[in-house]
Amino acid sequence: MALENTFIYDPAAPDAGAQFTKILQDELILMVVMGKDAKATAVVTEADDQASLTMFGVKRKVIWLPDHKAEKAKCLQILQSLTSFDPTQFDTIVAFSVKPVSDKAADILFPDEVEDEISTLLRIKRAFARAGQDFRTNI
Amino acid sequence: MKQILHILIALCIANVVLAQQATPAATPPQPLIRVYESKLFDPTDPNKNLLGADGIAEINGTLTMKLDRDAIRSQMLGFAGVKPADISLLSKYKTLLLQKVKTQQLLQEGLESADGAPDFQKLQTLSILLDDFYSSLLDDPELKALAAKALVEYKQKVAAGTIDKRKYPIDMYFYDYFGQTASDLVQKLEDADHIKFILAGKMRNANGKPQPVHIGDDFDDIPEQTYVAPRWVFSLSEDQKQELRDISNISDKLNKMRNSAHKQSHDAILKSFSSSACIDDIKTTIDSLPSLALGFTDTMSNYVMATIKPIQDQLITIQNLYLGLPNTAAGVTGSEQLIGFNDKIVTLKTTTQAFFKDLPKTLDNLPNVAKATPQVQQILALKDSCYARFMRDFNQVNSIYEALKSAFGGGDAEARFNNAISDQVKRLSFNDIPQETTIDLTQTGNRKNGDQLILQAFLQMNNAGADLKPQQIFRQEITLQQIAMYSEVKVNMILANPEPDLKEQKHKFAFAPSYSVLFHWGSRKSKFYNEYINIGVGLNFSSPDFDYDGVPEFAASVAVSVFKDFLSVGYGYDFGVDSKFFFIGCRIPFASAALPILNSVDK
Repeated sequence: MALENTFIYDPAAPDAGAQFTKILQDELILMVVMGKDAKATAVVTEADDQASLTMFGVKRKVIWLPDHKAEKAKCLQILQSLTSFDPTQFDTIVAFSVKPVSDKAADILFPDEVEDEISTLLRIKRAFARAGQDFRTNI
Repeated sequence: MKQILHILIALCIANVVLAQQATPAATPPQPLIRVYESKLFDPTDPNKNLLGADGIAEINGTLTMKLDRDAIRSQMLGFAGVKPADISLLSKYKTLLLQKVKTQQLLQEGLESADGAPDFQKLQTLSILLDDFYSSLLDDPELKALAAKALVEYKQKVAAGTIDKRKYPIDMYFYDYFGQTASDLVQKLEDADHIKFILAGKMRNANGKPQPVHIGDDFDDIPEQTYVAPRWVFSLSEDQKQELRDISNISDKLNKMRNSAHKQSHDAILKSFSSSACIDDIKTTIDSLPSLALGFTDTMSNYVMATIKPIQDQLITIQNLYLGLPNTAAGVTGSEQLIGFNDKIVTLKTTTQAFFKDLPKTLDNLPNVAKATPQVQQILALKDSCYARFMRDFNQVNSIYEALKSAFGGGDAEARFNNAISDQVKRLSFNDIPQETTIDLTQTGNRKNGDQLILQAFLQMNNAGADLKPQQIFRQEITLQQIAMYSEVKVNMILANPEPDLKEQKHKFAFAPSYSVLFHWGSRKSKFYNEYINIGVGLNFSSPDFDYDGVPEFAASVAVSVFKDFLSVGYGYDFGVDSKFFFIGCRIPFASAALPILNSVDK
């Protein structure tokens, strides 16, 4: 599977953390996928495919963290910007979208939301769309 | 964009209309049309006294029909191909298409501000619209299922190379897919407006083809036929008088034939009825013609015999066909035998018509001496009336065939529809369908106890070029019956046994014609009782000839009848010979098909 729009986080790589941070800082609509099970794989594949197109001219990018523990502190920091986020659910999260300007979480995907192909596709699209709502207020 | 707006407008209208009409049915399915006898209808309990599949109604009563317009509308939508699930999707389609309109408006306006920089407000609005759109699909199982179908289609087209996903992303495909689905639904709803509702009534009697009847000005232009079935009948109708005369002749013949014991009474009964009797007379007379030629020369005698031989053969064929009909009719249990039965009656008709056509020519070929004989003159005098009687019999027998054909069904839906619906039956748009209507049965023409009023509702596409066959959505048969006490006059033949035996008496029983004035009680509950038991009590008046002097006496009896008066017993007094007697009486089944022996109400 060629994930052309995805940064795959490799904890063994010395600059992995720096790259992760840099991507966050870029004004991109982001989807962070966590885990390496079938659902995570399906989500990262679909998100990568959707990211091949810009969203109203804004580029999109996918970050894949196969291990939930990788960059957990930064991820928690982003996710806690969502008032509905429950930190105890962190290890179950499949993915979350990040707003391009404020770097706040826009939407969180849980395993029961990506049970089938259509759900996965629609759920990722909605997560990207919610991230796009950051444009005006946070520029 | 105009097309989308058109769809949206249609969806808005459809939403409003259907919201008013299509109430979800939480209760068990109810008939589209509920039929009651008007005087028994209880507005507080719609299920009380509802006429069901075997409903019996007073023959002179009034029926109230309650039409479930919501259910009919659902049927109409279904006929147009609109599923109940589609109706629930209407408002959702409207929401999706409104989102599409707004999205397209934003995209057409452009996402950049005047200075060329991105217009972030528009981008945010677009994102919100997309969020709403995907939320709509995710949150609604029906829309999500449709989206899944669209995705499958999309992937197939991408794989086939008919769609470039970069130029035609799935988002736009979803919008177009739902737009097209909504458009199809709108088309179906518009088609539904062309569907007409038809309610037709027919009256079916025991012998005849169902005849269209007027069931109300709302539904047809069939002329009213006023007929009130008489409740109290004490006198003989003209038909019954004729029947009584026929039975008198039969009784006389039977009494004589029993003495001579030439034939079994069954054959005699059959042959004595109607046209078979006059055909027998013609054959007997024709058979006697050779004896007239005895005084002629051999050449002339041979000529006479050769001349009449073809019509003698024709008569034998006719007699065989005629006598075979009752057994053939009794053996009809399916459409195959029915075809055979039809063949026989058609053969009988063509053979008999040919005979009556050939008869004058044949007789004209006879020598003048033979033509002048009383026998030939008698045949010439008899032929026209005999032919008329034959045609009457044929029509009766043919009506049996039609009734059997109807009973065995057959034909496709179109044929049944055309059979059921005349041009006088109105095609109603939904808005013209009343919620309630009444049928005055006294305006539905001649009726007899046991006749059935058949109510049928159809849907028909009234759109030119539409390829939808009419569909029957409702059918109910209501048996008409005089309810409670009523009287009838019945003609029958009795076998009377005087007691003690009279000195002139040759046999224990004597045949005698009679008629009875009988009181019956019609049931609203039991079709079986009305059809088969139907006990009658009354008086019987007969004219036996116990003293065999050739002059019938007058006798009166108390009589009880059962089985629709086919069997009766009684005890009475013969005023001519001053003797008591008891009798058993019967109506002759074959007669009911071949002769109009029924009174005006009962069969």
